[in-house]
Amino acid sequence: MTVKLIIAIVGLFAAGVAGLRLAAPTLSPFAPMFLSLGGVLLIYMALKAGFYRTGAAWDQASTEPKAWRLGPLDYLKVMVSWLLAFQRTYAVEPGLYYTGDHYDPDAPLLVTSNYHMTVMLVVRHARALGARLLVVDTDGINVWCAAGKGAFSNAAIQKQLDRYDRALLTDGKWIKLVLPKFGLAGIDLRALRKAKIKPIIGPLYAKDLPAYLSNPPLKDRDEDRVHFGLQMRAFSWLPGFVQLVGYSILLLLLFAAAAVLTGSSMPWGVLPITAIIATAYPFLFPWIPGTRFAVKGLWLATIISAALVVLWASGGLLLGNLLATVLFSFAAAIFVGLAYTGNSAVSNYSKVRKETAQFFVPDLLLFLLSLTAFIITEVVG
Amino acid sequence: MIRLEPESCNGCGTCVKACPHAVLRVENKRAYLAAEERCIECGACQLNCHDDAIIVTKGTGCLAIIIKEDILGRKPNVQPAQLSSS
Repeated sequence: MTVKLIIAIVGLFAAGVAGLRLAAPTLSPFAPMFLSLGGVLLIYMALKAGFYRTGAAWDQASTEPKAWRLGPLDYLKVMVSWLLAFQRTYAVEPGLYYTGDHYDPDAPLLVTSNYHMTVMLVVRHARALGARLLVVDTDGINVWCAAGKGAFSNAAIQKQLDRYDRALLTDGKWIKLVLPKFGLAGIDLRALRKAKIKPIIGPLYAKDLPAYLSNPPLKDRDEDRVHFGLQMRAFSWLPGFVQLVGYSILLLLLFAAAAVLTGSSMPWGVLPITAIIATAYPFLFPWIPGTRFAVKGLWLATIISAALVVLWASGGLLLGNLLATVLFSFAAAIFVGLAYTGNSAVSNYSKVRKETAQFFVPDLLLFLLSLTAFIITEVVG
Repeated sequence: MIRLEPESCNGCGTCVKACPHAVLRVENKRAYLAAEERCIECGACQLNCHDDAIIVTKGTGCLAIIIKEDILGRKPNVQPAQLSSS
């Protein structure tokens, strides 16, 4: 709550300052920056007001399955969730849903989390086959993350199943559930069987549902493996980019403060460098040497630094600026690398812990060093 | 870190089915690490091994989570109703 309040105050303050400065343009060259910052923060606050809040108590009284119909608002919500890097945004009321014209107790019963985007993806791919959906309460987060935190669990599934008449769920002894393979870090399959539930391990990805559901009898997808191909990386590029823009704004404020205090100019060159790193890293990910995320960042920074040295040698850059920009490149590239571990379906916990311990503090120091180098270069000339 | 106790394994193969990275294989009724370097330590295999043949340092390999939970010591920001009401 405090963080939200601070963001709201900063946003309003920035917008107010920008308004004043625009009214009197001679006062500051930073008015457009403040205006942009204020605008972005206000839009974010407006969106945030409609987001799901953790621990919400859902009305679980209904014992009738509900129809799920995709509407324009669903697509808009997905867009927001995507742009905000799949953070907790919108949640779906847990319960039993059907995607066809009517409730069919013989249709496959897919289990998923109550993160809105996940439900949307599953519905989009499974509706043509009239699948049913058991949406469990994962506190508004996706299957993978919820399973890791124990929220996508046997208890969560059982709680939803218990709400409904057994005849709605099965015409036999066993309730057949198609589980997302990504959720197995939170699901004890044997315990489900003891509860007269037949778990079937479904596909990792919703896009594979149509082919899977079209070929009954449904079997375990033993060989499904995580793919982190170009399409997946491209899909996560823009949200990652937006997140970095947010951090860049904070960094720019720091640079702006230093510029105001020392009378120096803004090092605008850091913006394209950040953009290049934030784009090159995900797209070139498998081809950058090294297995560790931060080390891949180091390689990228080395290449950028080499290009900067060429620029300096051709007289396009002062030595001080070269040093400062190289330091910044390394700081930004390591940070982008560490932040990319957010793709936790391909990152190893122990290794990332080690990388965080090794690189995070030195990375912050690199940012400070680059800032200092920019100021010294400006002051000394 | 993932470690196998082969003598405890009964070769049921559930770990192989649960793993999203095909880290494990079963041969001669014993599981083995076919591609340890691919393991992300999600813990799906350990949770579904009822013979205690798999030991995993389970966790989320994400900078933000590691800073929040491991370094700053905050609890996971997840409060599903079924956990808070039980």
